[in-house]
Amino acid sequence: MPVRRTSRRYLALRVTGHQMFTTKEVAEAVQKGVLNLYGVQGLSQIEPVFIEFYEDEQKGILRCNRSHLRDTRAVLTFITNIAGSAAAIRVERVSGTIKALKSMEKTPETEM
Amino acid sequence: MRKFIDLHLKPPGDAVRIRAMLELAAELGFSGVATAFDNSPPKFVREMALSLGLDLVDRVDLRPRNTGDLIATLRRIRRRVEIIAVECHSKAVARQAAKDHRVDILNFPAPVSARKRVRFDRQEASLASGSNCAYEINVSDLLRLGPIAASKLVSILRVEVENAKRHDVPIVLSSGSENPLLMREPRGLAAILVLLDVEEEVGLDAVSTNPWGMVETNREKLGPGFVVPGVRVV
Repeated sequence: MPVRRTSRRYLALRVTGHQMFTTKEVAEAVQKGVLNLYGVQGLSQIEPVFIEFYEDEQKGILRCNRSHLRDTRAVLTFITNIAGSAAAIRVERVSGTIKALKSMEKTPETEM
Repeated sequence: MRKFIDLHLKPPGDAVRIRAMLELAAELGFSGVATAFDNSPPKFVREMALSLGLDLVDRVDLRPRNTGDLIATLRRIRRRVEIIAVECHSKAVARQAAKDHRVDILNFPAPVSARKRVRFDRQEASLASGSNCAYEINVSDLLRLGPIAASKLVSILRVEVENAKRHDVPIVLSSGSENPLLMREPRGLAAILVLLDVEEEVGLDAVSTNPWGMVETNREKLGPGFVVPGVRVV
């Protein structure tokens, strides 16, 4: 029986703050943010997963469910501290594939 | 492609931090920013914005004590600045500001306790609709609050946004930040409106079409030869 594949969106993120954050701290902040705004049901629908995070550049790629891209953006906008320190997570680009996201390195954010 | 504008930055006095905020705004994808100074922005701020490719808009935030104060200030400054916002701390001031054609933006206090006294209710929305005033939401007001207080403010904002939509009052979404860490990318700002049950396009209009429309109309009014909307001396 054919099963429809879940569509995803990949968000290129940049974390800024008064200190450097580890992958675990950022992933926890995102998860807590989703739970704060949308609860357990929202977390199960948004399905945020960190694909990669470069701690030296404080940049990473987050995956979410395509139909909940706007909710994911709202969550990221709402994050004002990570591991108890003031911080901001900003979305630089959005794409449907990791490959396209990486190839768009220097181009402005796409409309998705 | 949409052009985005952050119509409410509150940069601190020193040049280094102002530059940091303007650079960040350009990096985040804004084409324009409005800085709230007491008078016109200093010359060096204008030059900084120009070098970063940002359109700098003059904005003044008025905090009148009473309606008389508001009217007197409007008479004095209307011809000098592009955007006039009024922070409504009392119902009388809010009503006067909503019906005055010289006011562009209505702003309400962030604390929930103050919002119980004065808010963008139906009567306010009806007056604002007749005078082309916009209703502004500062996202930093929400970001500064803890989850419980934020939830209360979101429920108030939901009613206010509903009033604005019902009376066709344009909604303007700004960061309202004094600090680069509270600045967000335009689509991130627009995404906040998902909490207020606002459609995506309406949210994007609140950071692009609505504020730019207001700025362009006011620039035309301040330009030479303007008589009334649609009539100018050539």
